[in-house]
Amino acid sequence: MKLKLHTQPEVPFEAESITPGIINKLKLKEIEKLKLFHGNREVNLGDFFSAKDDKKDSLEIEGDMHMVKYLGANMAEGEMHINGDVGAHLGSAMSGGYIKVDGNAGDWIAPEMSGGRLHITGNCGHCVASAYRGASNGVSGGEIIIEGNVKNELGHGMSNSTIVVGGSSGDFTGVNMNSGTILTFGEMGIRTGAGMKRGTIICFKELEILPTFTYDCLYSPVYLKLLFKYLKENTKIKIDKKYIDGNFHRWSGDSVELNRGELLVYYS
Amino acid sequence: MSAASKDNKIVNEKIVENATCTFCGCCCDDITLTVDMDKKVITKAQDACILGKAWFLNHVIEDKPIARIDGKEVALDDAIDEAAKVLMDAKFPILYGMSDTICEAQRQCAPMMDDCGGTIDTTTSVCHGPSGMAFQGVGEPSMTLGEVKNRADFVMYWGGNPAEAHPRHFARYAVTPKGMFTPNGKDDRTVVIVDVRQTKTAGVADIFLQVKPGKDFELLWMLRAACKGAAIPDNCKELCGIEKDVVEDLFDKMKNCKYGVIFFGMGLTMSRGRHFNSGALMALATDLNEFTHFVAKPARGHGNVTGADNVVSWQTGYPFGVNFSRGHPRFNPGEFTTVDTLTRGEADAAIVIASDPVANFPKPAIDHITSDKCKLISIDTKQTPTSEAAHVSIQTSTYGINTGGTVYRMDDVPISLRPAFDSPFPSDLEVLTKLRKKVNELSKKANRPYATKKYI
Repeated sequence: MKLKLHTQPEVPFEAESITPGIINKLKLKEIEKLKLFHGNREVNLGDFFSAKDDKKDSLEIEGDMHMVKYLGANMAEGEMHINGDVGAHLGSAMSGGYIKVDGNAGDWIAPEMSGGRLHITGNCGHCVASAYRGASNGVSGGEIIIEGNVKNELGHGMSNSTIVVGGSSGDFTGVNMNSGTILTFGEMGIRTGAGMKRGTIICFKELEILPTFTYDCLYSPVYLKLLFKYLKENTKIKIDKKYIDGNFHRWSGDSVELNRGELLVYYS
Repeated sequence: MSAASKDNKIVNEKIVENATCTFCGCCCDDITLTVDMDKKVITKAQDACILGKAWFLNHVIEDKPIARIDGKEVALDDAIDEAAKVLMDAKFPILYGMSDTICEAQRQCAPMMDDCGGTIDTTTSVCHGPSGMAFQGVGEPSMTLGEVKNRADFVMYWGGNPAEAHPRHFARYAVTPKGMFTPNGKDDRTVVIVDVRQTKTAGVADIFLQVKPGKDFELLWMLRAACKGAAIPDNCKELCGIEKDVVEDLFDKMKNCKYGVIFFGMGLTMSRGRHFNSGALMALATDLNEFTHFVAKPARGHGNVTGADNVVSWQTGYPFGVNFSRGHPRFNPGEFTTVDTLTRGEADAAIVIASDPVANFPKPAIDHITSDKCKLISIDTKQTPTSEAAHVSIQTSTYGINTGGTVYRMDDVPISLRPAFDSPFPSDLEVLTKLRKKVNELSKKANRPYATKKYI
């Protein structure tokens, strides 16, 4: 199925009904009558999107959707390809399936995700894979790959997920992290891993490390070779050859919490 | 209130005892006002600080129309009808302000925005909003200022300048007053000021710590680690600008006091790290309870900003930045807070109560709120750039001077107001009650699925 945005929303537009699991089971006329929210008004999907049956199993969406929120929310199965920018809460609480965005995404991408895969070729806003305010747990599974840059609070309170950023990430990357892996190829902001309990944060550039982290050793993690191979085959992220057999400084922290997290900083 | 013109033998003058000043969050309720009832001005404000005196003595009744639409004078009811229509026609309306009005008026706002499917936000989102977010994240080790006066022997101010922002905070609550367990006043207390620069507040300090700009979080984090048994690092001065032995001595004093309190200001909440800075400070206060009794509290600014957060919290569950467009309250600062909503050009109508965003907000937000894309409604006691730019503008009477009601002090204690004299302008409560009723009627007529069934 293929959807194309024909009318730009004037105010925030909430479209959690747009997932392959819902759309691909309906006929064209039923799709056009799906209920979405344009601000505080309930509207039909057809008022903003045109639908076309391209006889494919995956759902394709096209247009500048920077005002469209909650695309792929609660998604559990299927594939969704988005060609254009998307707004906040993409893949919110998704538990399965695959979303690929050829464009940029807004804030709060994949909050409370528990499974599935998300691949964004452009940049993202703040609080990617982050816990909602007041919650102590963010994402609890799945894989997120962002080829561009992300802003602050990447992976806030995350557990059991893998996040890869091709560009830079902002302040408080992996703050209050419970477990999982974050890998950022570019610069990281300040206070990386503040309050982390467990988990791994990997950085390839110089990093300002909090005083509550302690230095452990210099070593070469074997599992990174597998991760690099996977990224090379599936993304356009450029991986310098020197990283593959590289050595990393290992710091453990955060000592204000359990002190069982690790910060790996590329050395040579 | 004392109708004391005869008692004082001064014709047409009235004495108001124990009046409450609503300039700042201290809400001092021991002011004696002398009012010239002929001229409708306050001539004396005994016991008020310099800010309180400016608040009371400069208040005059302006000769302005009560209500205007596009600058033209109209009847109040017509302005209310138009405002209600604007809110109901909007797809993403936002209500902002409320920190300079009474709780009874604030109470009308959340149901009104619920009925029109909008967003409600207070001025907290541009001051102690990060603290509100931190409360949700790490909790608040709280107290009242009465407790501080009677018990606190270790008082710390972090990232604030109360000597100029809350001038009576020292004398009434935290530094010099003699309390039940602090009979010698300041002699029984250790006062510590942490700031990036020497301010007037530093003058009262027993210990002044000049932290490196933007390194508050690192200092707080080191103190938190010390609570868990870690040593203060040798490169402490390089990290935060303060010598290691000074931080060790500070930590020693903090854990060995009988009752410690930290008041923090926007120097902490609005510097890089924001809600994590506030959260680190409150987490430190919580951690120190392993050793002694320790509490923390934001030093709030506007007269009733604490009330706005309390009222919105007990009505919606969240303190600010609450959206109702899906029929239930959703809290997400950054997504539903006013500056962000306006900067992204999302709101198509805005109602501003007792606030002046057109004078204070970032330019992209001002450009949007004053554009044709966003219909602006202003309810305020004075003529401001916001009221001048508004499609519908309603001028109201001033709380604490012309109208009574309830305000919350910065420690969440409700205090009653004692007004000095009447005003020809309607109160915020009167205007907002009428507006809320009108919006409710229109909402039911439009068969909005979420219109409040019962008018409260």
